[in-house]
Order: sequence, then C-alpha cells, then structure tokens
Amino acid sequence: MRVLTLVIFLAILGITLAITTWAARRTTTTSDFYTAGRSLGAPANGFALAGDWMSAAAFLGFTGLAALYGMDGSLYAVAALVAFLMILLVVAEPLRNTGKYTMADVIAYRMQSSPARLAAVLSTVVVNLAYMVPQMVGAGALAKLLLGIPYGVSVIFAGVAMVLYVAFGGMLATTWIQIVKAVLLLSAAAVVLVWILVLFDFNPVNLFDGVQDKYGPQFLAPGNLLTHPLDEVSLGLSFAFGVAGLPHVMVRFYTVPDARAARQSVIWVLFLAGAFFLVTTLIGLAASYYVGKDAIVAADKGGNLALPLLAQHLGGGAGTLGGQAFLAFVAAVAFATILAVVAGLTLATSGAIAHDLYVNVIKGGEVAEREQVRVARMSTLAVGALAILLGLLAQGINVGVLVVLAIAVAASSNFPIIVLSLFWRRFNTAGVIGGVAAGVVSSVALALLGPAVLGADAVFPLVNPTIVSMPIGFAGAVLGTLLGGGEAVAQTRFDEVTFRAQTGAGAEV
Amino acid sequence: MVHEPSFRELVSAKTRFVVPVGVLTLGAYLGVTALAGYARGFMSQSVVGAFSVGYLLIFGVYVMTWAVALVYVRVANRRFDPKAAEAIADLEARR
Repeated sequence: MRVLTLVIFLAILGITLAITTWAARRTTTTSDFYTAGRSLGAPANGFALAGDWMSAAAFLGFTGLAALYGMDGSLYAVAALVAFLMILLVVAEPLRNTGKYTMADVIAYRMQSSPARLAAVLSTVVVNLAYMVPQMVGAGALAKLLLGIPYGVSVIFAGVAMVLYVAFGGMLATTWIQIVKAVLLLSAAAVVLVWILVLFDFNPVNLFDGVQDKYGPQFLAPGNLLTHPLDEVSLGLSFAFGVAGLPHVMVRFYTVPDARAARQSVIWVLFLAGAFFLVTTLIGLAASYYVGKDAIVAADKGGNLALPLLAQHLGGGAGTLGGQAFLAFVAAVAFATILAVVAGLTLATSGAIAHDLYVNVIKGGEVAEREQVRVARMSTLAVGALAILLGLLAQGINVGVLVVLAIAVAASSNFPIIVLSLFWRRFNTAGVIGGVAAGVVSSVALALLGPAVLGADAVFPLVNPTIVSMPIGFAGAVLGTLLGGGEAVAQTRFDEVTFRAQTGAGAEV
Repeated sequence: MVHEPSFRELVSAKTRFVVPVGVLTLGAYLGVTALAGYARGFMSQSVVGAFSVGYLLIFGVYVMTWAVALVYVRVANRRFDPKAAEAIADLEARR
C-alpha cells in the first residue's frame, strides 16, 4: 500500500514539477509572477479557484464532519458554496477593476497612504498564516498515518515543494497545479459517488434510511456539532463574508483580462466546487454507514480520514489489492490538494510582503522591474521557511480553531475594509486602521476564549465568533473614520474608485 | 465623472438588481441556518424516509445559489456591460 501511494504521489509530483519548469520560462515580469500576466481564461481561473476552495479542509474535513455529525457537516459544506455567491454579487468585479497584485492594492489605490496599506498587509498575513498552518499540519499528519513518513519530514517536504512551485513558476505554475489537482479531486469524488449510488440503487434516500437505521434519528438532526443554536447562524455569516476577504482567493481575480471573465470564473467555481460540496454529504454518510463512526474516530479524532477509509472499504477492504489501490489514490490526491492550496497561500503572502511592504511602503514604489521579481522570489523563500517552522511547532495542537480563526479574521477585518473602501465616500486611513485593529483583535480574542480552544470551560459560547466580531470590525472602521476626520485624498479618490470599480475604465491590463 | 448620466444609470441599474437579490438570497440562506439552530425538531421531520426537511432545505440552498448566479451573469452580460461601455465612451467624449 505504501509503495503504491508513493508511486501515485511521485507521479503527481512529477507532473507539478514539469508544470513549474514550463511556467518558469514564461514568468519574467512582476505581472507574470503575481497574476500570470492577467491572461487566463474564465474556465482556467474557475478550475483554479475551485482548486483553491476545495482544500483538504473540504475534501477530508467536510466529508468527515458529515460522517460524524450528520446535518451540521452538510451546513458547513453549503456555507462554503453560498460564500461564492456573495463574492459574485459584491466583490469579484470591483476587485478585478481596481486591484493590481494584492488585496492591499485595492485599499491603497483609494487611500494613497502607507499606514492604510500596512494595516491591510497585517490583516493579510494573519489570515494567510492562520490558514496555512492547518494545511501544513494536515500534510504532516496524513503522510505519517498513510505512509509512515515522520511528521517533520513531510512538513519540510511540503514546504520545499511549494517554494519551488511559487518561486520559479509564480502564478502560472500555481494556477495549473490547482487545475490538475481540481481535476484529480473531482474525478476521485465522482468515482466514489457513482460507487455509492450503485450500492444504494441510485436512490440517495436509501442511504439516509440506512444511516438512520444504524445510528437513530438524532444522528441526522442539526446541532450535533454546533450545539449553541446561534453558532449555526454565525457559521453561515463567517463563510458568507469571510471567503470574500481571503487574500489568496481575491488575488485569483487579477489573473483574468477583465471583469466579465472574473464573473464567468465564479460561475465555474459555483458549479465545480458546489457539485463537490453537495456530494460530500453523501460521501460522509456512506462512510459512517460502511466504515462506522467508531472506526473513523479511531483513525482520526476529527473524522478527517472518513473519505480515505471509505475508499479503502469500497475497493474491497483493508488488505485487498482493490482497497489498497483506491486508498492510495485518494491519499495521494489529498496530499496533492494540500500542496496546491499551500502554494496559492504562499503566493498571496509573498505578494503582501514583497509588493506591499518592501516595494511600496519601504521603497515608496521606486523599485526596478527586475528587482521586484527578485524580491518576490526571496520573500517566497522566507514565507516557505516560516510555514515550515510554524507547521513543525503546531504538531499535535488542535488546528480546527485556526481554520475558524482565518475565516473569522477575513470576515471581521478584510471584508469590512474592502467593502467600505469600495462603497463609502467618507472612509479614510484611520478607518482602515480602526477596522483592522477591531476586527483582528476581536476575532482572535473570541476564538481563543471559545469552545474550540477551551472546550467545556469556554468563556465565549460560540465556535464561530463572526456574528460578534464582524460587527465589531465594522464599528471599528466607522469609529476610526469619524475620529480621523475628513481626508481630502481619500474623498476625492472615491469618485475615481467608484467609476473604475463599476466600469473597468483604467483597470490594470 | 460620477455625475455623468450614463454612469448614474449603470449604478442605479446594478443597485436595483444586486441589493434586493443579495438581501433575499442571503436572508433565505441565513434563515435555513437559523432553523437549524432554533427549529431542530422541524428540520428533522421526514420528507421521504430518513431524508428530512433540513436536508431538503440545504439542497434548496444549492439550487437557489446556482439559479441566482446564472441570472446575475445573464443580466450583467446583457444590461450592465453595455451601460458600462456607454459610461466610458461618454467620459472620453467629454475629455
């Protein structure tokens, strides 16, 4: 089994490195590095966005949640879909029209001030690191469990691979690796789905009946995971607004030529990732029916191995050739998923450090083109080293809270400052700083005081802090704006920002 | 430039579509999450066998999301894009 997984994984690795070599020859300018020259078509960007969004948290996480907690798992999955509707209606097109390379560009374009850009950088880095660490931990845990490779070795391996992809191939390599991974992941899910449907006579209701006979009606009811009623709503808010504030998702809209292509790419995500999210419910329920909740929990407390174990069962069970082959395939896809998502996160983070912090804040924008690409590659190396270090330190801690945190910070800090920059005339630099400070502090504090960290002793009752922290983030932004007083530049720029955001006149090409 | 009549027309057309549609769909979705929190008995009622109201509503959110997105793209391609092009042309004509 280990040999087989290794062979499949090495094949995937070979493909990704070949893509990187190909992309490296096409990556010479700063625009190539950060945005693949804004040349991608809507289908390519849509597949890559779906790849970004079908992370290990979705592939392994949502299926595991549906397997252990019934309906709450399905609510997580559908939340991830609704998120992209909000992106389509509110942020995708204005972002494409006003942004250049990073999330902070949108803010800085309006405010023309270093403190506003710095605040956006801080928020970007907090969100990206909180999102990256669980992926690194997942890579380590998965390789250890399935291949017997020591945790540290696979964390370092994942870190090195992602630095190679991003430093040499930039956005073009990152995109095509996401596309390959999305196709692999969707094929794996499709095979499992058809198999399940055959077993249940193409009637999903039979699967629901089977699970209910086995575990009783309470298992399929809501509230098994999110016991506090308000947590279900807070989860919904987290995703609906948080994803629109995830920097590595936002920068994908810079890779297409115009707002129309940005819009079309969201349609691709909604159908590709949406179909997958819908299927996670059936996969999860089938896992709890065939593998059993106890066996799933025994393999991993969080339920993250429900899908690999189901694949093993469907292939013929442990010890059979079919079971081993199918498990090996699913495990290799899961590992590839992690590499691809981490590459996207690394690119967005190095953009914040190289383009925002170094080029614009420290050097005041006066940096030669060639030098900018070099700095971007160096910061990729630094971000990779940091990710490896944090991944090693985080071994064994509950990483679930970090995913909750990443998305809560994105909803409470990034989302308010982006939306207010685009739509509020009086918004100013002090408002950006107030929004980031209030949003980051409240979401981090409430997540740390909540049940995900403190368990039964939680001071704050909700796992998802967003229902409280997002209003605090908005309040901080408004308060900062009012205290900061009139800022002539920010107000006169508003007309230009509005016109450009809505029409695309003067957008980066 | 933002007082250009063609631009005002674009913004008001977008607002008239996006605001009600966004509020309604988000409201419907958050309504389902609120039912999952506060009406757990109702969500567990059977529709067909063990397939309950809750799962049906969640499935409904998928269908709603896909439908709204397709309608938005159609409206944006047909109505908003030409208006945006007009606003840009008017601005350039004035310069």
